[in-house]
Amino acid sequence: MSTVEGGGTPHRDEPVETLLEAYVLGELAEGDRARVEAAVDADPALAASLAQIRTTVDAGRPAVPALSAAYRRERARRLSEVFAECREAQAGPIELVAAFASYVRDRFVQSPRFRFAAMCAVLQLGVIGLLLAWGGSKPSAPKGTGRDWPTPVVDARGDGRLLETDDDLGAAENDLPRRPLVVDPERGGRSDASPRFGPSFSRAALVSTRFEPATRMRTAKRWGGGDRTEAAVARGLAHLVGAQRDDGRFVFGTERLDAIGETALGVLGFLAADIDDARRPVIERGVRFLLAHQRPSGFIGLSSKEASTVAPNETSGRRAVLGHALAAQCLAEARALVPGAVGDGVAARALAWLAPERLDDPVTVTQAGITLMVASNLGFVVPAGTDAHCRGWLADRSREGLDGFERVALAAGDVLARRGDADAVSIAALSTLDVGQSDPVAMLYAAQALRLLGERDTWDAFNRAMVARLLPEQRADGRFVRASAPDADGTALAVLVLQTYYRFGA
Amino acid sequence: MKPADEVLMARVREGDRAAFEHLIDRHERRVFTFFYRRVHDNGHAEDMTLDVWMKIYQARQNYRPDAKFTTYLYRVARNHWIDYMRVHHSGSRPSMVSIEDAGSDQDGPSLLDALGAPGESPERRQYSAELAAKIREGVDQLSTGEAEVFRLAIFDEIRYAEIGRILDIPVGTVKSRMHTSMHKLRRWLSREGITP
Repeated sequence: MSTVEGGGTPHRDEPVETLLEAYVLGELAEGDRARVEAAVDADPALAASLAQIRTTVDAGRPAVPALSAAYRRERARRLSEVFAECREAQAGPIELVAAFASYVRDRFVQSPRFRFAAMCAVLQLGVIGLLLAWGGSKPSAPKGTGRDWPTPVVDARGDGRLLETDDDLGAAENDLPRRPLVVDPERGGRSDASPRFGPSFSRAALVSTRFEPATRMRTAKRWGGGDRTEAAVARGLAHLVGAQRDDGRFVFGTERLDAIGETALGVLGFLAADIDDARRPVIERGVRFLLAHQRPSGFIGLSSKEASTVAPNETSGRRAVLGHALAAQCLAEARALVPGAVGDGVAARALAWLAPERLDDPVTVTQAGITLMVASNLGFVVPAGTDAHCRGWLADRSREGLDGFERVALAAGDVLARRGDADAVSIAALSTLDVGQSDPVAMLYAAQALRLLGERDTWDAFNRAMVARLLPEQRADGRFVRASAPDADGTALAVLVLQTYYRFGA
Repeated sequence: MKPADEVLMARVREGDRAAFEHLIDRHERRVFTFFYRRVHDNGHAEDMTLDVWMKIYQARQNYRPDAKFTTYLYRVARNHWIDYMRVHHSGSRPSMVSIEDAGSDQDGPSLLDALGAPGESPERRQYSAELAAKIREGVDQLSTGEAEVFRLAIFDEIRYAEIGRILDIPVGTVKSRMHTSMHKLRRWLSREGITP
């Protein structure tokens, strides 16, 4: 898959001289590359510097010979050695006891010296027993104190040595959880200081539950899905492959979303499924469509919509912000989970655009919170102010007398924002949702919130109603159609809802 | 679809040897490159490459899947390299190959062989070898942090973002260290009478 936009974050304020290394190493975004090239064309001294850097880089990268046949032989030998060691180490208790008994018998039992030593040991045990019986009335140490003992330092180096200080260049290689993480889309995982909307999960967990069929099915079954729901997802995705337009957009006729939001919804379904030759181009085209509509400000929207986001309470403004927030989630997932799908910077710019002043209604605040939750767990730096804004906004209004779709969105956002400390009123608003009649977008938010909340009984009841409604809505060609809205294609939303089992890890 | 490294490593943790060999096949070349461009000795680089894989297998239970596997791999390689330097160059900065040594490596291909592109003139190859050796010498004059960034970016061709993860520093710091190190190196080369 080709990179849609390569290079790093923009450096508009930096002098060109400081960008030359990054230019030679391919680390600059398109705009900065053009700026360097223009400056180099105009300034011979700069051109000379660039040539020197290029020569230095080339000389620092001499050709590397092929690995030798001797290496191949040695590799086979050492691998078989290390595998054998581990087999011994993993032997069960019976094998270990048998091996030890055999060793003792062969080594010691026949020896007179061993027999004498065994007699001494028996006598010694007798003396110790007497002493213990004499002191039996003294208070014994409380049971369970082992729990208070200090936890041994984990040897993360893997070579049997204790950890050293961070200043030491030999610090442990796998000590990520012990340090504040430098967040990054490919690394994933939240730092202690990162925003707290929604639960924590890791990129690796997402990769495993989304893209490993056995893990995905296991997770789906654990949460009440299984063969039937997965088959429905596969049929839905097959329909979506054919439903995408040539320019990459999806059009479903969803009442609450524009083409940006609908395209993001369509692509998100493919980001939680096996990516094969038929599905990969769907992601590529969808991402291209979104990026073709990204403004310099980071906003992703139809060109006339950005102005309306200054008044986000207007219908068009809300729709534009919601579409943008979904698109930002889509780009963040694509960047972190599908190598080469999205270049550096574009997702980060889209996330940065989600400023508090643009988020002022239940739906956009909830979606922005979910977008930030996903992005921060995938390792993106997200605006902390926006995260705090979303949590505060939802907490302040969680008991407002809304109803219908907005009530569900507000409750879902509130449950995610407070996580284990969720408000009973919000949980009740979700668990009493009439799933059979609800708006599909509301069902998606409710499903995500209840699944991540993880309260088994509440989820099971919701899930039963959700499956009972969605599966009969699917037609033979894979499309999901609601009886109450036969002109709207609900496939993308239904797929996302049915992927909720494993979308955010196990 | 090829399984992700992290997925393979998860299988390795469960004792899947084929997954481990798959990981080695996928990444052994980059580990070898890492060491070769530091020691310039085939045999040593191959040995250290295998050492790293053995360490990874023995410590497989310690791998935490919240780290990208290649980041983990480079961290293990980096620590192994540092240990190697402690043993073999204790008390000295990690300077490896002098200009005089550059063409006389007995165990592996000479630096000239390695550097020489087909069709390059002998003079050009000699110049490239000298420049390469001088660059390594110059890198040894940099501060530890600058030298590490330089080696990872130039010798190992690792992107800034991943260098940041390996060294646990922000990408902006990687960029500034790279700029500073290149600036110092060019100045040092100039003082040595070499203009790249």
